[in-house]
Amino acid sequence: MIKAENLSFSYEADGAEVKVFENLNIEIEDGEFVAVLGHNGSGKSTFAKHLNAILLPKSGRVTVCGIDTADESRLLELRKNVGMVFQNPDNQIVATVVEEDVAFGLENLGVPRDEMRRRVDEALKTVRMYDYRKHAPHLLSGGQKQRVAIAGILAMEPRCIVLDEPTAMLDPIGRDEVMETIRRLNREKGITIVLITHYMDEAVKAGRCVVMDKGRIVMDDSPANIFPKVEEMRALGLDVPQATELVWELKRRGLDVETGALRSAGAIEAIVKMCGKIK
Amino acid sequence: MIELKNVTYTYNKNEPSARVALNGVSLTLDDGDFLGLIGHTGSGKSTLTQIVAGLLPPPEGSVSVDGRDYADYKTAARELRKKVGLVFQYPEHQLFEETVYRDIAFGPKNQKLTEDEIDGRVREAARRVNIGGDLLDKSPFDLSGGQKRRVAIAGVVAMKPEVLILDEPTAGLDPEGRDELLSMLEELHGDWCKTVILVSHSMEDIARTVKTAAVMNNGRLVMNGPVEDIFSRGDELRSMGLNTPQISRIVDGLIAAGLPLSRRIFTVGAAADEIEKIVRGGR
Repeated sequence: MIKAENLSFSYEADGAEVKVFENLNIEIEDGEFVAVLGHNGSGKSTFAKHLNAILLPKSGRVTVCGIDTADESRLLELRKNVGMVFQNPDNQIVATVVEEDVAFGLENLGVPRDEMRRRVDEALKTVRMYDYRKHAPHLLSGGQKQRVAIAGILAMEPRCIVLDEPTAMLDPIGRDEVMETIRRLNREKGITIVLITHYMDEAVKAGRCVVMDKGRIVMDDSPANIFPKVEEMRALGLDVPQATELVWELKRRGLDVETGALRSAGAIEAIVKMCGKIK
Repeated sequence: MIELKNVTYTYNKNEPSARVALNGVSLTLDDGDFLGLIGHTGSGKSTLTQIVAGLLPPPEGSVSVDGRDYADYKTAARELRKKVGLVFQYPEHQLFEETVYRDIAFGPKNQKLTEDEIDGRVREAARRVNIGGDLLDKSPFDLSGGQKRRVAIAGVVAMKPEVLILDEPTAGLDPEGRDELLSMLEELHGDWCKTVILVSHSMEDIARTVKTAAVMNNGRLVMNGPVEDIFSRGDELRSMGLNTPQISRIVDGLIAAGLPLSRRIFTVGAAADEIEKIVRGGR
């Protein structure tokens, strides 16, 4: 479980204190898939960096899997349990062969050789990159590189993975590959997922969306309850999926259509139903 | 006008690790074009933009600039570098000066302009990317991510290139920052820079910003034409690791369900217009 209690963080710029957030409270249960949304500067990346002690609270407390992130004696244990994936895959690859890259974290932990082999193979199979285990990472596509980065984290057998805009640099197929992998880890392995994203069609796939604005949590609900609030989302500098926007726009023009669709199929169904009524 | 004819480019040529990045690409870039360039990672988009910008060693094939054929690419490249400004991915990583002003002024200074001209260019470029005058004396490192991105773009814009190429300029920006950047490009195009090329992985951005697009796949230019034509070929795009905007997929589904819609719809507004017409027309 992830728990932030009265979490505050600030930094200094030009001699003045800039508050990123103040008294932030949130709980995320084991096995949840949470998307964190918010415009640039809303505090979401700073929040994510608190989850595995890249940043420490100025005041308040963050506990993850029962570990207080400020407890230095348990830092290694914390980082084994909470893995992070960042935006740029090229900054996260360290070795010249895929399987060595995946084994990198384990080597540093002194995991026995047989155990290491087993974990690396399993991680690569999970992200569907096992066939590429002998390849050079720099020749892979962006989506493949991100999946290798995820495998490196999986090999540590974490309970939680935090992804900070993992698809921002990927082409459409790479984005789909990474999103599919994330969903599978959550559903099949029960790994808690915290996904920071600017893509609303990705947030729709989460079980819960947390919207941040000026360091505060302004919405915390299911995608089905958040995205139909098109005007509120826009006022927060955010988007909604095109499926949601289309039915909302038709309704706004006075047409008798059911709103709330999040995906293409839902929008198609609602519009076909409306047209059926007219005929 | 820039014309590439049958251009092939190989990295590490004559070595075992040789890799053909561009394979027989022919592309004409007319003055005034606003071209979208799409393709999967490794499809050759970046190599193509760097050849257009005159930044790579000579490729095979021919390149002409403003109707003039050059016997060798090296001479053409000199012309291209004068004409073309290229904004790389994550350009804010290349900010380095002490102040925003000096960072934007770096390019124009190298163009041997007078002090007054440089000052005019810096202020105009800053204005065009929505960087207020009060920020010019700040350190670029004290700005927000979106502001840094715009300052870096201003550095290229200030050189007033005839052709402006931007590689994934909206990557990592939030929806508002993305909208602001795309409208900024629309305003630059035709007015400050004759020709603009937008490289993007976002089909939604391409659909709403440009009129024509070129599609790269495995080093070849496989499609080139009006955006409507390109996005009406969804299955082909998906086979290349690309896609159509979500709205086109919804429209395809509605057509399959029997609604008399056009396949050439790729913005939410256009889809709403057509659906409204059908409903109100009682068809």
